[in-house]
Amino acid sequence: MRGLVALARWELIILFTGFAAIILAKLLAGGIRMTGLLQGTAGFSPGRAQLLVFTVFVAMDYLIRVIHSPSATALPSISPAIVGVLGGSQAVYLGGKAWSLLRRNQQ
Amino acid sequence: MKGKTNWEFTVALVAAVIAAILIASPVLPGEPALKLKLAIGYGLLILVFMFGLAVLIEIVRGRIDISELLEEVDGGASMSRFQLLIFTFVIALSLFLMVAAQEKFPAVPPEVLTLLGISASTYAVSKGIQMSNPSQAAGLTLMPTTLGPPAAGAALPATSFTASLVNTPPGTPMPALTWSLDAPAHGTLTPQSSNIALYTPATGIASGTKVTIRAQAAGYEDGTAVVTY
Repeated sequence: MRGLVALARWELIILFTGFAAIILAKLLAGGIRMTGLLQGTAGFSPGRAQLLVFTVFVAMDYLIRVIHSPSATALPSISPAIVGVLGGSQAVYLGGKAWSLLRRNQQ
Repeated sequence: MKGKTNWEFTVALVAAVIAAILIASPVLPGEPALKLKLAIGYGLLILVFMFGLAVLIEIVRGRIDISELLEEVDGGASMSRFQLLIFTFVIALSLFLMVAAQEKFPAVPPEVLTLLGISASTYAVSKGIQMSNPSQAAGLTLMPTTLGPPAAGAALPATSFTASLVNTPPGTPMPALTWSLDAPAHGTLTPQSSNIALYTPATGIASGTKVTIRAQAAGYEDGTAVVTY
């Protein structure tokens, strides 16, 4: 059984690292198009920018907490405040998107 | 991939079956029930690994195209897709780190599920907003919409792309356009008039490479055309 567990671990390491590396490499090299990530219908979109900042911040914060306590019995919890902030950030992004669509349709 | 034999998947299946038969064979010592468990376990592991590896290799070779992983239907990267990608990777990596450290599946707090739920819901709502009234969206279209691939041994010709307005009242003047290529090294775009640009392909580009030509104007959906080398 130890051999089976070791094989599963190495298999996951290779596949997960492989997929992550390929996607990261393609993002950096332009193989996955990122053009217009922060562009709305009328140029630069602050709603998209703030969502990007909050997303990266929450993701990095969570990953650091996992790396610091990999032997815990449960995934680290996220404070309701953080969930609320991220939910608000997404709501701002969606609100901006809906508003710009509404305005464009009225023109 | 259509019409081609996916030998990678056949090899994966054969390797998994052979490994399972070898482990379960009466030549090896051990309890039959345990050997059966091990045979199924190793067989499945090999199958999943080989399938995953085949997908990875196909992505690297370019036969599985993920260049539009973050792209909206109207062009441009999607922020909601990007944040869903980030959270999926972060949670998957976290789970993997903890399973590797303890060799058992950790409990998943409801807040984490809420976070993923918010992220996926944002993506879904974003798509809903985008698709709610697409026919009335003022935008640009390019003609031709595609160029290439050329015949074997032939080169792509320099081609003029013409932008037109759609879903706008008759007589709407053409706005100032910004022309761009998603990969600037893959050719040049030279504006020739208010709505026409000449695309001159680059040389030495690998066959099958795709380049998107984009015409943008404030307040309008982008017009795009795809060039295949």
